[in-house]
Amino acid sequence: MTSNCEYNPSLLKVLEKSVLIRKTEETLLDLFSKGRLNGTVHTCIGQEYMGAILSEVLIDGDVVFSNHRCHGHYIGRTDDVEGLILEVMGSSLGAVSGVGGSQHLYHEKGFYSNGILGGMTPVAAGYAHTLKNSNNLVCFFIGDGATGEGVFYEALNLISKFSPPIIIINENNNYSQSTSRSETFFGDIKSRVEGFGLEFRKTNIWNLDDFVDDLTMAFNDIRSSKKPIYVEVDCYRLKAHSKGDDDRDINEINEYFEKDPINLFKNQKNKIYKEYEESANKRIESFLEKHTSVTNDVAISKKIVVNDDSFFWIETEVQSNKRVNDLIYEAISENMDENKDLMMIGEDIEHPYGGAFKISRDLSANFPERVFNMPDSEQAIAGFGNGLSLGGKIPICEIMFGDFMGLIFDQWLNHAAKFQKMYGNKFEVPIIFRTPMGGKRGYGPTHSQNIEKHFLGIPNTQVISINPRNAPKIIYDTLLKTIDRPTIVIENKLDYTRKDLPISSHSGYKYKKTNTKIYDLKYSIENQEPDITMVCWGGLVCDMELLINDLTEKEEIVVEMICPTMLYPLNIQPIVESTLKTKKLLIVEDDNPFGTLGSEIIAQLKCLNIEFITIQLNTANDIIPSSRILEEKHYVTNQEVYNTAKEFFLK
Amino acid sequence: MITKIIYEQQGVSDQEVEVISLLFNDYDEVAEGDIIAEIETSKTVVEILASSKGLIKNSVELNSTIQAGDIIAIIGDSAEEIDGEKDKEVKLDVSEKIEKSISAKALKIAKSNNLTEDDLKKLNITSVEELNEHIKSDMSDNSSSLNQDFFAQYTEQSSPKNKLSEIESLKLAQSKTLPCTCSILIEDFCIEAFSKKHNLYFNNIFPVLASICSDELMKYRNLNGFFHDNKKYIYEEVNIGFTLDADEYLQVPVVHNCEKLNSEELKNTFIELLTASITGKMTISMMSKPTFVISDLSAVGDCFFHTPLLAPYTSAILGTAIDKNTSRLSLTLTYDHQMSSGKEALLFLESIRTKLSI
Repeated sequence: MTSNCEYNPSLLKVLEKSVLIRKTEETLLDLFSKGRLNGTVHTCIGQEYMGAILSEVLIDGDVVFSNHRCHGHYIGRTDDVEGLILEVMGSSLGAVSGVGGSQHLYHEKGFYSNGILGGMTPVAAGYAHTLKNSNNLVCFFIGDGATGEGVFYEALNLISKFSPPIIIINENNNYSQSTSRSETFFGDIKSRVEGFGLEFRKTNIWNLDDFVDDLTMAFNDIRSSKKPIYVEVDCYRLKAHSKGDDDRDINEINEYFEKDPINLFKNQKNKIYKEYEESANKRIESFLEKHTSVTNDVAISKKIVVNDDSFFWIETEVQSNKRVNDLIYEAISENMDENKDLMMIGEDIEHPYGGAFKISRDLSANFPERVFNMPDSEQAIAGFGNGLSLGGKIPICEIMFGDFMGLIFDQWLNHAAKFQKMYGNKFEVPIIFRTPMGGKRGYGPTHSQNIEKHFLGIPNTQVISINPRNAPKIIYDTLLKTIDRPTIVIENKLDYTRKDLPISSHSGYKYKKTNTKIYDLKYSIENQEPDITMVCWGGLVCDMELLINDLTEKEEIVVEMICPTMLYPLNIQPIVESTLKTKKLLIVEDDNPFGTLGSEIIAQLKCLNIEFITIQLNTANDIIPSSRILEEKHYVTNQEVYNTAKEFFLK
Repeated sequence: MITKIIYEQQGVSDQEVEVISLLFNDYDEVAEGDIIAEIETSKTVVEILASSKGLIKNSVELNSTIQAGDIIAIIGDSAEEIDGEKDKEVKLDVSEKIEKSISAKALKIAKSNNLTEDDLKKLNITSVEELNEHIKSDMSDNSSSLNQDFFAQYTEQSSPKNKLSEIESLKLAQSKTLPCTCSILIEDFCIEAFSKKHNLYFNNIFPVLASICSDELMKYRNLNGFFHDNKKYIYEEVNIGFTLDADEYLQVPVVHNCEKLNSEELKNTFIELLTASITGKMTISMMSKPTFVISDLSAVGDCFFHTPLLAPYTSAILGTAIDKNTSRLSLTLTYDHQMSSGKEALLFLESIRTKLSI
C-alpha cells in the first residue's frame, strides 16, 4: 500500500473491524500459550480483511459459509467476539455451546463453517439455491488448498447450472498447511473457473482501498444480476497454519509483514490505529475478566441401546395390492402436493425418463421447481441437498444405486450427520437419501451390494429399510411428514415390482406391526409358541415369508420372524421379546459377514443377559459375481435357510 | 412262460409315444427277434422286437399313445397262459415313490418319548398330531383296562384279614416287582423345630411329606403307578397311604386325591384317619387304593435308614427315619425298577429335600 492511500470512511471501518479481528486472534493464541484453551485454532492473522468487509457488504438474510480459518469471517458477519472466545474456551455459552469449537461455527444471523476442506462448496451452492427469489446471497470462503478437492469442481459445475446468488471468495495465501501452492496447483485458476462458465475476478489485499472497492462492487453486482461470481483474493497469513507449525522462510514472512495493511495503517495512521486497538483490547479484556473459568452442562448421551418395550403389536393395514414402486411414488407425490418445501433431486429423475427405477416418474412435470435432474456428481448432489436442508427445504436425494453411497459418505458423515449438534443443537437437518440396494440381477460387483452396515451407528442419523410388507407408502408418508434428522431409506431393486400382499399362509402366519411411528414387523402364528426367532429385513423379507411357510408345513417348526424397519437406531425389544420365548435366534442377511446389523443384534442381546443360541447366515465373504450361476452360489438360498433352520430346531 | 414287452423310454422327450403299427394279430406265433410293433418317437420310428418266441397278444391299440413303462404285448407258451395274464399291469415306476417325510417337530417330540425315527416310520407317523394321538392312545390303552378286573381284586387285597394274608400279599407284590432302593440324608433336621413350624400332630411329618410328594408325583409319574403284564400303568390320582403298626397287622390308611387337597385339608384328613385308627373305627374304604405309600418309623424311635417293602399295586414307597442324636432325616425310596430308574428316584428325593428346606 502506498502512502497516498485513501483512508476513506469505508476503508477505516474495514480496518477497525480488521483490528478487532486481529486482537481477538492474538488473544486466542495468548490464551493457548497460557494453557487456558485446548484443541486448536487456525488464525486468520494477515487475512482479516475478507472477514472485516462482510459487515459492510452483507444485509440481513445473507449467509456466510466458511472453513477452518473462519474466525475473521465469523466476527465480520456477526460481531460475536465474545461468543467466539467462549466457544474456543469450551463454554456452554459459546457460539455453539462448546460442541463445535473453533472450526465449526454457526450463527443465526447466517454463518456456517466446517473443517472438511472444500466440503461446504456444494452446501453453500444448495443454500444459495433457496435464496434465488430473494434479495439475499451466499458468501462462500475457500482457501487455495481447497481447489485440490474434487467436490469443489462438482459444485462449480452445479453453480454454473443453477446460477444461484453466490459469491465465492478464494483467499489465495499460497499455502496449504505446509505445502506451497506451486507444488500442488497446476494450470491456472482463472481458466478453471471460466471453464465452468463462471465469472472470474481477481484482487488482492495489498492495496486495501482497491480491495474494498473491488469487493463492494462484486457484492453489488451479484445483488443486481443474481449471477455467481468467483473472486480470487491474493493474501498471506502471517502466522502458522494452526499453532506453531510454520516452516515457511522467515524472510518471506517478514516481507509480507511489512506489506500487511494493518501494519501499514499502524505506521501511517498510528493515532487512529491506537484507538481501534485500545477499543478492541478493552472489549476483550473486560469480557475475559468476567470469564476466568468455564462450565459446560451440555448433555452427552451415552446410552445407545434402545430397549423400548412401551409398544404393543397391532394389526397391519389392509394391503393395497400395489407394487412397491407405485407406493413410493404415491407417497412422495402426495406429500409434494401438501408440503411446498419438499424437493427431490437426483440423476435421470426428470419426466419422461422418470428415474432409473421409475420412482420419480412425472414428479418433475408436476413440480418443476422442486424436482430436477442433477449432473452425475453424487458428492455434490449430497452437498447440495445438505444446503437445501439448511435453507429450510426437505430434500429427497436419490442415489441411483446403493453402491454409489460411498461417493456421498463425507457429506453424510461430516456434514449432514454433524450439523445439528455441532452447531449448538439449534435446528434440525431434515434430509433424505433414498437408494436401492440388493443383487440377484446379475449387475455385478459394483451395482448389487447391500452396504447398509457401513452407514449404521452414525449418531444423530437414522437408517430405514423398506420392504413390500411394511407398507412403504405409510412409512414414506410418516417420514416425509415428521422427519427431523438425516435419514437414509434403503429400498431393494427386486422388490420394486413386487406387490404388497403377503402370500396366503395355510399355517396361519400373519403380519403384525408395532404401534410406533416407524414400525417394525412380526410374522407369526397367533397363539402358537414359536420354536425359532428369525430376523431379516429389506430384500429378504418376501423370500423368508415363503420359506417360513414351507418350513412350518413340512417340518411343523413354528417361526417368529421379526423384520425391523428402523435399522438404526434399532429398538431391540421386539427381538428380545421373541428370543425370550424361543431361545433360538436365526439371523439371515444379504450382506457379507463381519460387523453387520446381525452381529450388533447378537451383541446387544448378550449384553442384556438374554439366554439364547444363535446362527448368523450371510452371503459369501467376497465380492458379488455377475454370472448368474456364481451369483446363486454367493447368496444364501432358501434351501440353505431351510436346512439350517431345521438343524437348529433339532439341536 | 410269460414274457412282457415293455416300452422303455427312448429319448429325453419321449415319455409319451404313438403306436403306429402292430405287425401281428393276437395269438399269432412269433419268433425271437421278430418286429412286433413300431412306435414313433420325437426323432424317428422305432421297431419293437419280440424278446422270446411263442404266442403273442397285443396289449395296446393301434395309433394309441403310450407312456414309458406301458406293456406293448405279452408272449406266452399257450393261449390260456396269455389270456390268464393281466395285460394292463402296473407301470414301471420311473420316479421314486415320494414318501411324506417326518416333520422335524415330530422327530423331536418322539425323541423325548424314547421313540426313534424308525419307530415313527413303522407306525406311519409323519406329523405331531399323529404322534400325539399315538402317545395318548398308548397311555389310555393302559388306563382303560385299569377300571375293569384289577380294582376288583385290588380292593380286596388292601384289607388283609390277618397277618398271613398280609404276608401273602406283600410277597406277591415283591415277586411282581424289581425293587431297588435309593436314599438321601437331610442333615441338621430338628424335628422339634420342624414340628413347631408346621404345627404337626405328635411330631408326625406325614402331612408335610404327603403334600410335597403329591406335587412331585405329578411330575415323576412312574412312581405313581404299577407294572403289570409287561405294561406300565400310571394312576391319574395320587392317593397316599401311611403305615400304622396296629396290633394285629399293618394298617395303611389312605388320604385320597392328595393332588386336589391343600396342605390344611390334607393334614385334617390325616388326623381324621389317625383318630379313626386309634378309636378302632378304621373302614375298608379308608384303606383302599393307595397309589403311593409313606412309611415312617420315627414314631417308634431313632433310626438311620428305613427301607420298606413295596405295597401291592404301587411302584414306589417312601421310608422315612429320623435320628434325633445326629439331627438327621433320612428318606429312602423303594421303587420298582420296571417302572422307574435310580435317576428318577434320586431326582424325586432331591425335590423333596428342596421343598422341605423351604
